[in-house]
Formats: sequence, structure tokens, C-alpha cells
Amino acid sequence: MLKYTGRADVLTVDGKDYKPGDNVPISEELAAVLIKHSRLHSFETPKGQDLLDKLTGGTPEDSALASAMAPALPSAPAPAAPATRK
Amino acid sequence: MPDQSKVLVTRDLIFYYKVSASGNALPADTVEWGTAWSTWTDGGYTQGGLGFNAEISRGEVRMDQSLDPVARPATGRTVTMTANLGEFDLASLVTATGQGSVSTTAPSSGVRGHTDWTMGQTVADNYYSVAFDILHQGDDEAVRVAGWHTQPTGAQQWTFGPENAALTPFVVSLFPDPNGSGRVATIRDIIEAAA
Repeated sequence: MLKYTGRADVLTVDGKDYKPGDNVPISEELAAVLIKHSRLHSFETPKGQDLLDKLTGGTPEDSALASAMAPALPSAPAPAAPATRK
Repeated sequence: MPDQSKVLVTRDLIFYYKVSASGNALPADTVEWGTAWSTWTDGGYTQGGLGFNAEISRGEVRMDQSLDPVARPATGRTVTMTANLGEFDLASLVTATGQGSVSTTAPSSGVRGHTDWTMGQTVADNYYSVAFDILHQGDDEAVRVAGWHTQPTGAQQWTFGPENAALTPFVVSLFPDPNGSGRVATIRDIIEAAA
């Protein structure tokens, strides 16, 4: 179960409707697909951790899942080379 | 003396937003530029820079005995933040319009899902906190700009074509934040740590 913290008014999973704040019977893999597709969606793990945070900066056991979706994760533009300080 | 290091020109721009609420705040100074802001949504690619515009209009009180106005009372204030969102994502559309409802049907094994954005007959008043995280190349530290209680006010249009990206115009007007003592905007210039 993941808590839906996204901004869709209704999230339908397996024919059942859920709203923000609801616990949704969805796998982390499928939740990752939704997060990857749109910034509308976010989920919170049972431990209260944002799923995207977990996937992008979480524990080593998360690394396989993170690497699977990393290429398309929402991310900032790559920073330029550090400026030379005076 | 002119100081080239104080000139701010950069591609290192990140656009963030979240629903306006009590407790919204800029991240701690320990959060370096480029590190994702917890609880804020990264708006992704933008085009044409990020804009912050503040204008206070003033009237004039003139008297016979004075060539110049004797007072210029404030008659209005307009503060806006602007961006062109470069990633076509319904999240951008929802934020930029502040309107409509969204429903998502998750995909399942072998079955596609979809998200619908539906503009209804009522006009909603939705408020967001909007922020820019900008890397100042001069000192390699962030400059952070936030509007705490903003409402989408811009005209929306999308052009889909072969030569240019379909941009989502994003224009919000800032209001005093009822969740934060009437604050309107904050610009924070981070100072590098002492040796």
C-alpha cells in the first residue's frame, strides 16, 4: 500500500477510485511508472517517505528500482561546471 | 569597481511549485543548488528564463504652489512571476491554468492507462507557492525567489508543431499570503560558508 499524495482528483487502480490521501494497493513499480509519466503523481511509502525521494536518493536496496526508472525521472537540467571563485 | 562575479547570467535555473499552504518555506541554506527541494514539485525544462516582476503604481497630488507633486500615494501593486514550461505534462497544465479536474486511470498488465484533464463550467480559485532556484555563477551559491500565495492569471495557449516545443505559458499574480503573515515574495541570496 502506498499513500497517494499526488494532485489527480481521482486515481483509478484496478477499477477502484482513490483520492489524494488514500492508501492505494499499487506496487512501487507501477507507482514509479505514474511518477515518471507526470509530475501530477506522487506517493508516500508506509514509512512516510516520498517515493520519488526514496527512488532517487534512497537506500541501496532501492537502487535497482531507481536505476530502472532513473533515465526518465523528472530532474533539473545538468549543472554547468563550477564557476571559478575569485 | 565593477565586479564581474556579481553579474548573474546562468542556465542553472530550476522552477518549483506547490499548493499554497501554511508552513511553505524555502529549503534550508544547507540545501545546495540542484538538490531537489523536498515537498516542492520540479517544473522541469523552461524556455526564455524565469521572470519576477513587481510594479507599484502611484498617483500624484499636485498643488498650485508646487511645480512637482507634493505626494505620490500608492494606488496599486502588481507582482507577477512568469515562465514558459517546456515539458508538456498535464501537471504543468493544471498549475498554469489553476483550473479543471484531473483523473488518472493507472495502466495494468498489457493495458494502457490515461490521464484526463477536464475544464468544467466553474472557475476555480487555486493558489500556489512558486519558486525559482538559480545558481549564481559568481559565487557558486543559490539565489532563491519565492512567491508564497500566487494565482494563475495568464492567458493559456499551446501550439503543437514540428519546429518548436509546445510551451505552457505560466503567469501568476502574487497576493499577500494569508498562511504566512501577509508575506508576498522572498528573494534569498545564499552566502557561502566561512572557512
